[in-house]
Amino acid sequence: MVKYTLTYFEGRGRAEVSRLIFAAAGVKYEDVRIGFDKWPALKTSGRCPFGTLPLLEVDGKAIGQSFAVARFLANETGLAGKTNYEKAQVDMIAYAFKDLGDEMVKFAFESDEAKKAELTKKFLTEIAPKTLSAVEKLLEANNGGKGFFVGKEVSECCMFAK
Amino acid sequence: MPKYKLTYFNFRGRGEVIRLLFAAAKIEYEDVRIEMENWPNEKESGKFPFCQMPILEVDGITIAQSYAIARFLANEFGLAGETNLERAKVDMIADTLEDLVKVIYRVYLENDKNRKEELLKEAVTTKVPSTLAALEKVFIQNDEGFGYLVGDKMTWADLVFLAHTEYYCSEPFKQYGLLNPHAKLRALRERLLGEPRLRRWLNIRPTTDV
Repeated sequence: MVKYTLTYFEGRGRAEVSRLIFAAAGVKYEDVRIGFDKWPALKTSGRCPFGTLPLLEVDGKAIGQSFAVARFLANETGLAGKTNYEKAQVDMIAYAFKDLGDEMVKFAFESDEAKKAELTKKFLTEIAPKTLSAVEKLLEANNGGKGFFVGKEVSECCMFAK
Repeated sequence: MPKYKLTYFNFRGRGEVIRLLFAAAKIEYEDVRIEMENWPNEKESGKFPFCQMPILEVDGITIAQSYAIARFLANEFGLAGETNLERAKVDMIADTLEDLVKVIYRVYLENDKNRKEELLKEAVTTKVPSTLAALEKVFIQNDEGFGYLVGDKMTWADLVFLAHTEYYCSEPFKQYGLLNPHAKLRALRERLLGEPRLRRWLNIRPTTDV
């Protein structure tokens, strides 16, 4: 039995997709959540290949980068899409949501109140509607087996937006 | 034989990894380049799922997002990694280099001269050196860094590395010798430049600034 350890901060952030994949696949794993105070020590420990979280450790190997981890787990558990084309569709939609997530991070961590309001407005009125309607079009065109994985991405983003 | 059509700007930018993949696999494709001034019109055509480029059209299907395209082609051409773990390492390196190239692009895109200089200094003193150092460490873990970034054959991670390090070899980054401290990465770059199929593409491709 493969032993998985996923290390991230307390919170959904960039690890939640991987946690959702474990849950969907019914695969047990160690869900390590560290406080920000423990992060500097971990960062310099050399355990994280590029000094970032989330970190997946499996069979003595370490993988970083949230999407590399998620895709690895999806491939291992059969949640990646069946054909190269389906996998590409999954990637395309996942990246669209990642871009949205990156835009969210911009206003979520903006300390200047005026700039924050401006960025939030732009996100809610321009960026998010544009991407979400493009994704909806794709889903309408093909509700294939990849739908389940994508469905979880949607609910994650909606929860964050609220 | 599928008929591939890549549509992107007339830059290297986010299209070049894809073009290098076709070159490495020696697969023919249509390399459509849209000039900046024509993009606003093209964008409204409905052809682009997210109103962005690049897109790949194959067998009546359209794929958007540069890395979704790159990974699709890598999977099709056997340049993705041999196991799920290798593929994950390729993805990890590609995503890390993607984060790094965004920092590079910010320097290029900044019009304010002072801010540009600030961004440049920041990039060359922090993000680029730390990422390259980490990359070389990861590389050395793979057969002591004498071969390719992942596994024992070329993958698209090597092509991302090749495409992105080109920026370090031209202005305004050239003077900082960003690859100088990293012998293994420099040697990898030289090895890739010497691969006949890549060399052929590099010799015939249009010359662009970015």
